Amino acid sequence: MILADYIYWHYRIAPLGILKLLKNYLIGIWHKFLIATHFKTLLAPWHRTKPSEIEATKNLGNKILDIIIDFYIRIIAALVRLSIILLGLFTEFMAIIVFIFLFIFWLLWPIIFVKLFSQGLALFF
Amino acid sequence: MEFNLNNSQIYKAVKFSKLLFLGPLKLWRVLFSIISLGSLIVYALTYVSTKLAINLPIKNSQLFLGMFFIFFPLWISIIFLEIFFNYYLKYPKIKDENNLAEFLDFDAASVLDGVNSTNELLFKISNYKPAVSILIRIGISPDIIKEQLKTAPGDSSEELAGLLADAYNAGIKGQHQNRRITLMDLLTSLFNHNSTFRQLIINQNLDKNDLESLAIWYESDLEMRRSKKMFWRLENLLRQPPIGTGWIYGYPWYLNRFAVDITRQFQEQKAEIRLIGRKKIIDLIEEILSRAGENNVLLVGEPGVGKTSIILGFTQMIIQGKALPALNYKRVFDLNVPLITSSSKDPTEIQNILIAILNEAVKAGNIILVIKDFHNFIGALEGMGRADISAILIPYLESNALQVIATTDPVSFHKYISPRADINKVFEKIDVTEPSIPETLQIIEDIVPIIEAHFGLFLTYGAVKKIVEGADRYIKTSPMPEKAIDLLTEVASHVKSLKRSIVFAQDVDEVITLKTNIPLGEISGSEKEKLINLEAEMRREIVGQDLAVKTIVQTMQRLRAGLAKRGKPVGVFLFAGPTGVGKTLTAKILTKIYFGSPDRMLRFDMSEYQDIESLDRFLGSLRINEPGQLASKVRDNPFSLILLDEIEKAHKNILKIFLSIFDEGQMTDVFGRKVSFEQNIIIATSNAAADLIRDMVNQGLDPSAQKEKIIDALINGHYFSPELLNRFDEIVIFHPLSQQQVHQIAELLVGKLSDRLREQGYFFKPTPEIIDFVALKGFDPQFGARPMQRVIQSKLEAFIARKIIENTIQKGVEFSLKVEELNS
Repeated sequence: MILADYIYWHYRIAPLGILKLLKNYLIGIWHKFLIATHFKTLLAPWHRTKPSEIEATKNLGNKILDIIIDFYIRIIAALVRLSIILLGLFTEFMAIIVFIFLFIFWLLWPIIFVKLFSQGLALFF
Repeated sequence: MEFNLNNSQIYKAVKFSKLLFLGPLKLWRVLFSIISLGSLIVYALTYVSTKLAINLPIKNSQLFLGMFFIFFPLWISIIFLEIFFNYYLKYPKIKDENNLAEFLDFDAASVLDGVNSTNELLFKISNYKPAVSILIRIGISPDIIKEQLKTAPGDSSEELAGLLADAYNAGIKGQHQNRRITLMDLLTSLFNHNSTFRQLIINQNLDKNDLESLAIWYESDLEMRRSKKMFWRLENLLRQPPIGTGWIYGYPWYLNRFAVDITRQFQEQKAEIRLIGRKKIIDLIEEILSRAGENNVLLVGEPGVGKTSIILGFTQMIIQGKALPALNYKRVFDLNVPLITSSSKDPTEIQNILIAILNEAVKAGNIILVIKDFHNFIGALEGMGRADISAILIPYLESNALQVIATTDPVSFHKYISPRADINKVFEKIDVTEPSIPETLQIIEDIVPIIEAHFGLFLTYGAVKKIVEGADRYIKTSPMPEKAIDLLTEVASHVKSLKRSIVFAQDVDEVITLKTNIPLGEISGSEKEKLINLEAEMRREIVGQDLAVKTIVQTMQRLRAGLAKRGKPVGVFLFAGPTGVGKTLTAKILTKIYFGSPDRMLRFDMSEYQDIESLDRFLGSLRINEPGQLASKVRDNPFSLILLDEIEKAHKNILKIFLSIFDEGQMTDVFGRKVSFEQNIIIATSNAAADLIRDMVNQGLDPSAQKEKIIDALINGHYFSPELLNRFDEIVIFHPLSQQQVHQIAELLVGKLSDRLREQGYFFKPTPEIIDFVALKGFDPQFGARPMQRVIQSKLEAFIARKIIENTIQKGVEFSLKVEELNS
């Protein structure tokens, strides 16, 4: 009776549980790497700071320099953010791979068990 | 509803745990993991060494691979079985709602397996590991249960059926509605169905309600721990702070210097705050802060009521991303205004720093500022650490660019903030009131594990309950939950200093007595004697007022036996009678005997509070910024006797206040603070019907038997309203003194003088003539025996003093006085 319950759980309940876990981890990683927010603010100034605000500049040369520095900082910031976005997406991808592997491993476990166990015995005797 | 455990779904888990011996299975799991991983490592090493042509002393590496192939699947299979058992089998769906056993949780089903009576159930519980910690928390050792069960009367299976029905009602329909009958539900129901267990619980000064409360504590604690362990749950995964939140917002240079980042502190501590009874306030803060326009919060509450905890709870919510989207992941900074104001001597520079901070907070876009004790920074008060930042701050508060949570206490709010329309306009006020007693109990239950870990102690549930009750009843210096938390810490330190490891309710009583001088706990031998002899002791000093003494003594005995009513003063008495018959003296002696010191009598001469101006002095006024003499004195001496002399002469408005004090045992002062009178005896005295009482005595009537007539006279003479008279627990009539009683008083007072002289070595022997002389001179028909003490001082004491100086009275030699000498 318990064996039947186990089989029911192993093939009916647990696989859904694994998929739910995958969903939790995908949301968790998305949150951890703040993917959507970094994407939305990809080109925003770093810490909302513009070079022009650090010192009041009046002459045209300085203003042009400010624009260049601002652009440069934004590009650097975008690269940092992009790297986090990519790292996050990679982690999401890895999570999917791991869970697919886990899912297959789970479903095939009885076969894997018999195979490994018999192979082990064969190596002994 | 039937009970068939074998047919229930949960029984599969019970059978499974018995079948697989789950405890040893864990050992197998660990063993298999070591063997499989160990053999894999050895195989890998030999494989690599072969490739590198290094000779290792291992002949057949294939055997290690074989071991890995055998033990690895066994290890993983045990993990699967444990997951199957812990997350599926133990939580089956209810299939047959007519079978009571379907509603049992795993622990409850395990202890009920094979049990036919409540005694058997109790025995099994005392042996069941998860139940032992609960029993010890109650204060009962499992060995004592087993010992008691040896001599316990037998009980039937019907009793067990009744117990299960009770447990079902508590668990499924009861207040904690956990949809399962738990071990705690069974223990709670055992109280009604097993006399051995009931007696053990009663011996710990606990009852069924306490067991129910303990059940809620244990179950919520278990649920919290279980939830935390499940790291894969979405709420646990979302608890991780995201990477680079700060990059989106401005960098707060100034704030990092002049404020504390509560958000970061929280993330570093990783401590979980469970706010009890504060959800509504936090929701309100969330709603106010996230709306457009003026979105600032002013938390108004007594110091220690939990304002900071509320701010921490709110911070936790935004860290976890559980708040409204507009607030999630914002940073909460606790602004240190005194640090800003002390950063420079130049006011302009200070102003500039403050403006820079506020500008920075606005620009950063994700800052919520906390300003504690806001009343100190609006220019109303001067002194160290205080300043006026309102002029700079208000424009920022008026815009929706900056959000501020400020805190203050009710007194300062009424005194300094309430009159400022500009400040009131920009803040939304939220009152933070004291948590209720059950809420405080939950807060303390939450802190108990931390205190236990810190001091290396274990608190019984009786002690936990006593801490909350004791703090509520006897400590009036701060609000709940602070005073309960303080008491908890003090009790833990006290027990630790005694080098003991378990805290009992008696320890709490001891600490409260040390703190307040209030005699608590089991009535000790000497105190028992004092209570039994109280009447005789009082009668020795109070002459001719037997009924008054009897009434007072009965009240005191009721109080110390723990039968005092809650929500009212201990006793409210009106002593009516002529002047100088012992009304004040009775109150004074009672204070001395019971409260330990005559200083514990708070005396108010109510004739001083007749006009409207005196009202402010007595009841307090916002105009003069005073809480009033009554509130101040009672707050300073919560365990005292309040004597209201000549109450009928007080202003009518004062008498109206007493209506609610007598009725509810509390009043609210002008600053909105509650003052409790629950630990006070209130005695009001009145001479109002003195003439009537005297006439009755002259006519040979007993005034105490004619009480109705005296009450009518008090009402008809407009001295008291019927509502006020009805609120006295007892109206005690004091009789005019007879000649014989006056004589007795004279004897008593002269005897006291003799005792005082004896202590100094002078042996004064009072003669009957001297007593007669004092009785005659010391009695006045209008003032009763009041002049007697003065006569003793001016005649006897003065005469003896002169004789001592003249050396005509010598130490060790007995002497007496003649009336003629005193008259000369």
